[in-house]
Amino acid sequence: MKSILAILLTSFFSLAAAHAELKVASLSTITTDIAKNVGGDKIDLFPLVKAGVDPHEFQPTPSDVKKIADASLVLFTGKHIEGYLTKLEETVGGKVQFIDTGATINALTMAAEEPGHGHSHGTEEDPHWWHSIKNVKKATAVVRDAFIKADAANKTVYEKNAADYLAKLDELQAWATEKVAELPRAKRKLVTSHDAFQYLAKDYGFTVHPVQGISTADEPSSKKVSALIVLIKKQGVKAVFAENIENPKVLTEITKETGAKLGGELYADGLGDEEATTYPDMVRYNLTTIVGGLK
Amino acid sequence: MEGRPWVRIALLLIGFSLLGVPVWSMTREKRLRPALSNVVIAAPAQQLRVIITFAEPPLSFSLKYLDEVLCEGAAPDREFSYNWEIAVPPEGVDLLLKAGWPPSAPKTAARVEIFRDDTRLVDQTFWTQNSLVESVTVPGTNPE
Repeated sequence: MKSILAILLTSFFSLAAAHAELKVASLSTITTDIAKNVGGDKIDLFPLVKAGVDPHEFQPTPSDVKKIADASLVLFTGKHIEGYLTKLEETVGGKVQFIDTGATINALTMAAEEPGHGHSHGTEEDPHWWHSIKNVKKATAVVRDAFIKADAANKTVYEKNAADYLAKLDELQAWATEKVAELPRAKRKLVTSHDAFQYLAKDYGFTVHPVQGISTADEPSSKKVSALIVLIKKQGVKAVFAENIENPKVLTEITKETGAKLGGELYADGLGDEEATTYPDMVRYNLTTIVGGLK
Repeated sequence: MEGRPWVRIALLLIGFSLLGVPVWSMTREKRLRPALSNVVIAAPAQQLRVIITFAEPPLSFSLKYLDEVLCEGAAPDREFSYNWEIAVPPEGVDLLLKAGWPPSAPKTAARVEIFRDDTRLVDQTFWTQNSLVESVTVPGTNPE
């Protein structure tokens, strides 16, 4: 009788352990997509920054803070895009582990915008590292290792899921290389709303000419807009690109002045609701739009 | 006036000359100076030699520039070379290399070298397992 009870108890506890999910909060749509792919049904995921929300402007609500406090891991992209992070860490205390998924990625730096717009000056790190597929592969490895450390019982599942996702990213990279090769290098001039595509530019030989700075809160000066108009006319740029979460007012003015067309909306700060609900979809949509617009 | 025919001839000549200026202006061959912003200086064509060395010959293979397939199809030997005449603009040009090996093939490598005369413009090695899709940039200026 005792042995039967022991077997029943052991089975109960092992079943309970098998169903215990790793609670993960995510502060970016990019880390949410990585976490879904690596964690699968072994994690309980709270995506706090939803598709179409500007991460430059996002501020967690009290209910978000509660969800974060209940989580074991919090995934963020880093490089100063989550300006509220220090306060959030102080608020939820040391129980929750914050995982900087961009920690192993070498940041591109660039000159900061004009003073008076609420961010640091001199040079600043570009936080939009997800526009390089190579960087997302590095972040996937960070997420996989964090999940294994927090939930070693499901190590083989996380390893297999991550390997499958990395293979998908390899396919995506091959597709992207072939897509961009359709466009002559002389036409790889990317005029966008804000400065979010430096990593893409570095991988595929584009020159980026943003209207705004790194943050969507930056205001373009009239001098900068005039210089852009001259550049677009001089270099014969065929299209300029808006963003899914930005008002394309200035870009529309630029198209009127230059004759360049509005090439479409790009997903700069994360995933969207329609064509870009997953990371591979976002990359495919953005590159198809860019190459189609500039050809 | 009537007794001075040379005066009449002179007036007639002056009249014709004055009329000739606008007629000449309207009918001359126009040589418009293009706006500086629209000047496109075509790069001269260059004779390049592309050499690809495979650790293992692939099953399928292609070289492509924009929409133009330079060569594709049958598996080349370990070393493959192609003479490519191309006008390289200052921004350079991208050559797309695709190759595929059997699914069971071990990790392999492909080395791409591009020469202009005796100058090596490109020397890149790519490592891969079953398939390779890589873009190789020929620089627009000769690296010293």
